Amino acid sequence: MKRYLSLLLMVILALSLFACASPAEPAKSTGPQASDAEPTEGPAESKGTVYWCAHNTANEFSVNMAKYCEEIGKENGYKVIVLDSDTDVAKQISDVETAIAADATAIFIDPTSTDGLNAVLLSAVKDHNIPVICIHGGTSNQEELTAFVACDMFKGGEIEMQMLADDLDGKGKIAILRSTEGHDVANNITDGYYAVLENYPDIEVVYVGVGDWGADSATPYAETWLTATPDLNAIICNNDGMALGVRPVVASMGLEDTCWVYGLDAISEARMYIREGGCYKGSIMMDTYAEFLAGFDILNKFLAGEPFENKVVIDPVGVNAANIDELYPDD
Amino acid sequence: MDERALKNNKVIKIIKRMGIVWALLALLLIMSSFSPNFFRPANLILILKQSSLTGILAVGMAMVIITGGIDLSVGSVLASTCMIASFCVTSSMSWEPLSVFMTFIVCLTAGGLFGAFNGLFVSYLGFPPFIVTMATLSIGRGFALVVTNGRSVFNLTKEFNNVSNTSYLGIPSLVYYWLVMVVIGVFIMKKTVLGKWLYAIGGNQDAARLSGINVRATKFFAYVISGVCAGLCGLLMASRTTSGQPPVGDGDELNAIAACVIGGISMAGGSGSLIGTVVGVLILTVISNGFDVMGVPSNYQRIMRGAIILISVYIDLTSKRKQRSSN
Repeated sequence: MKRYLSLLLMVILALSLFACASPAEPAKSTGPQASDAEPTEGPAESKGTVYWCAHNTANEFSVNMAKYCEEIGKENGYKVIVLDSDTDVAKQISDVETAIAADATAIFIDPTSTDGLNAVLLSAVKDHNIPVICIHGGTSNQEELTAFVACDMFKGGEIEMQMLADDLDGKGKIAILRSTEGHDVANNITDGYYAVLENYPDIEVVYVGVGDWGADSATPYAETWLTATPDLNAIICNNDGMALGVRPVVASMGLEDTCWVYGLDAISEARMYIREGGCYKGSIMMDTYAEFLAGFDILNKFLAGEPFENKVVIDPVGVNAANIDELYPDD
Repeated sequence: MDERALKNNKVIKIIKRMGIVWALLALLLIMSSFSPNFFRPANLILILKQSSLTGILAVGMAMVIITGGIDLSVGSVLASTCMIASFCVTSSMSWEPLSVFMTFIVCLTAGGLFGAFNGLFVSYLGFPPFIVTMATLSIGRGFALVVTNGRSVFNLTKEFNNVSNTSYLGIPSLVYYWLVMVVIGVFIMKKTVLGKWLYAIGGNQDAARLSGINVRATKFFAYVISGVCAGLCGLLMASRTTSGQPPVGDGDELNAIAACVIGGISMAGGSGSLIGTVVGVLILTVISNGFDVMGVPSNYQRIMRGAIILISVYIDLTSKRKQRSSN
């Protein structure tokens, strides 16, 4: 019977490979800069293969990052292969090893951990001469790698909490919905919240919940919190994915005028709700398109032997009803 | 040659028994034809390395499944022992880092204790394995997060970091750990009475009891072995990531179970082999690595993996039905 297994496996695999061999052309970026950019033809000859070792590709934000990487890579003459770690540090180590074994021209990575990837990334740079450029997130041995391009997540958290504090005039009851414990991005954003809260003793953090970046993990928290404490003034979330799970609960309980929601990433759905003027008061623009532009610029200079800046920090920008049309004119 | 003679032919028997190996070879050939990078020695060694941790987990998981049980807790036990290992060897704490040898002892013991906890409830208190190990999954993950307050632990000693990040004769050290565990596992299953008891219990627990086998102690042992394997993986993971990361191992139990099922271990217990499990692990890694090398999005890999598991279980069920009808 096991002979049938081998036959079936081969048939399914062959079919899958044929189906996957020519992935669809990525859609044009929806990012703020991308919308202004003229579509350009990539150079006829490829300069090599860049591996984008993604944190995950499970939400609009991270899918857009992969799309931007492919798009800007193509414009710069590189083939881009996306590897998805699914937010698992061990899988991301394997992804980097795969890129090394394939003789990557460069590794672009959004690390799932500040410390967990140090050895393998250092090995790529030192033992295999592969440039490693951290995009969006960094590692604790950053200075030993090729370059670092990121939005400052801690600052993003600070700006988000500052928007909340300003909207509440520095006093009120709030809940914090952070994401997966142990992940450094979530830690940095949340640390940014608390840094701002030190200046606002009249803002009381009534609840702290731990979601998993997705709306489904946020909804039950919002239901419980708002049932127990209907006078909660705001719920602040580590990303828009979770904030979008909180918003419908606030709306369905008729608390849109008293309980406000804040997210981070400024994805399209969040921007729509900010424009609507309901309870969704703000988000943070993490300009990942600009991150990849800077990343490929660094790579081009590195390969050409030209000097380059090895640390580029792009400031996040608060997005609210007052500035959204200016920041996203093409929405 | 008549049909009967053909059935009894040794070569035919070996080919039949190696069906899953042919599937692996076919996968290797298909992947190689689609990507020139795939069949490079560096990538093939990488496949072995990437298989190692799941492979070690699958050794313990196979023993548990052969007894008719299941261990859903291994991913969380891995996370807990990963944190324990990192606490043992970090220089960021107020205590002196332990030696690598002592860290091995501590982690294997901790993993064994988690396994003993599962075994106690399943074997001696009669709890369903699915429920007990699901509870331990939650406890283990919570433990890993609580002891670290959700933060990673780093500054591990250089000696410890070398445990998973060195190579001997061009082969990564992780592969040797896997090899050692497989050899120990195969020895237990094939050459000891205990191994035969594990199969007997999975085949028919009541008959095993009536024939004088200590069913409780044997099942308890299987869970302890599974815990020890997870403990070892936790230690190796801490060394591989050169830090203690509380979220590691999330979902690894499913990979280990998938490897067992693909390798021909029956979910009902009583049949299957560790060598088949090794091949099952390799098949999963070849699919994952091959698709990665070709740049195929990871979501296709999930579909592929699910399809292979379904086909494997279907074949397991139909072959059992055939056996029953021929008996």
